[in-house]
Amino acid sequence: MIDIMRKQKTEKELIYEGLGFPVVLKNVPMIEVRGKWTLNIHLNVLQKMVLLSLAHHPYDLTGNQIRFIRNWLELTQSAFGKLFGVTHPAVVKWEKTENQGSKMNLTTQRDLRLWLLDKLLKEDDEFRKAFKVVHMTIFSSNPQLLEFDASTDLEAV
Amino acid sequence: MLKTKPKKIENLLEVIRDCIWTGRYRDTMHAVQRKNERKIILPEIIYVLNNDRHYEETKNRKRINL
Repeated sequence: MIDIMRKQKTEKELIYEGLGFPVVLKNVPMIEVRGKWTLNIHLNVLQKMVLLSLAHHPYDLTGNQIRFIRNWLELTQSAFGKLFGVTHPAVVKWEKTENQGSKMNLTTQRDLRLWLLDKLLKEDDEFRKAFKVVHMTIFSSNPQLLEFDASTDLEAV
Repeated sequence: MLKTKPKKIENLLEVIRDCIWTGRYRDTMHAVQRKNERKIILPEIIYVLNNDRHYEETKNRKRINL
């Protein structure tokens, strides 16, 4: 009810960094809260969309993206490492690369993406299709920005 | 003119958790800026609000557990 009285607008393009790495959002609804323009999107949906995209993203995962995945899964660095057969310092090393490619090895990276899909996709068919895409992809070592159109992509989930 | 204080919410944490669960929260640009300065990200804040503490054990607590 209060939102109706507040000023609203749509921003053509905005870079959101609240997840620890830049995400390009297009056609984003904004709302004025205490004199400042603020994102007016469902952030739980955005996080799930970002995770799904990271699983499919054909580029090396960056340190901050790995950190976001780990935090979303609510795992400590040791627990996260154990899942993929690596030690705690290896996870620290990946995450230290921040917005650069983490240089995580290809099989571990595939494992992580598939494991993430398993957590996110409830339907078996969806998982099988996604599995094929992830399993056949050779990831490029140059990190690229993730892009979402708020008016279409965030409505889909 | 004096503004009256808004009524105190008794079960504030439960209200916050409900807002998080249903997505009724916003991340202001100011909050994003401050989080980046402190290298904190959104899922960490959500976890703390939901569970009252962070899941990375402090060194002291680890020592006590040993």
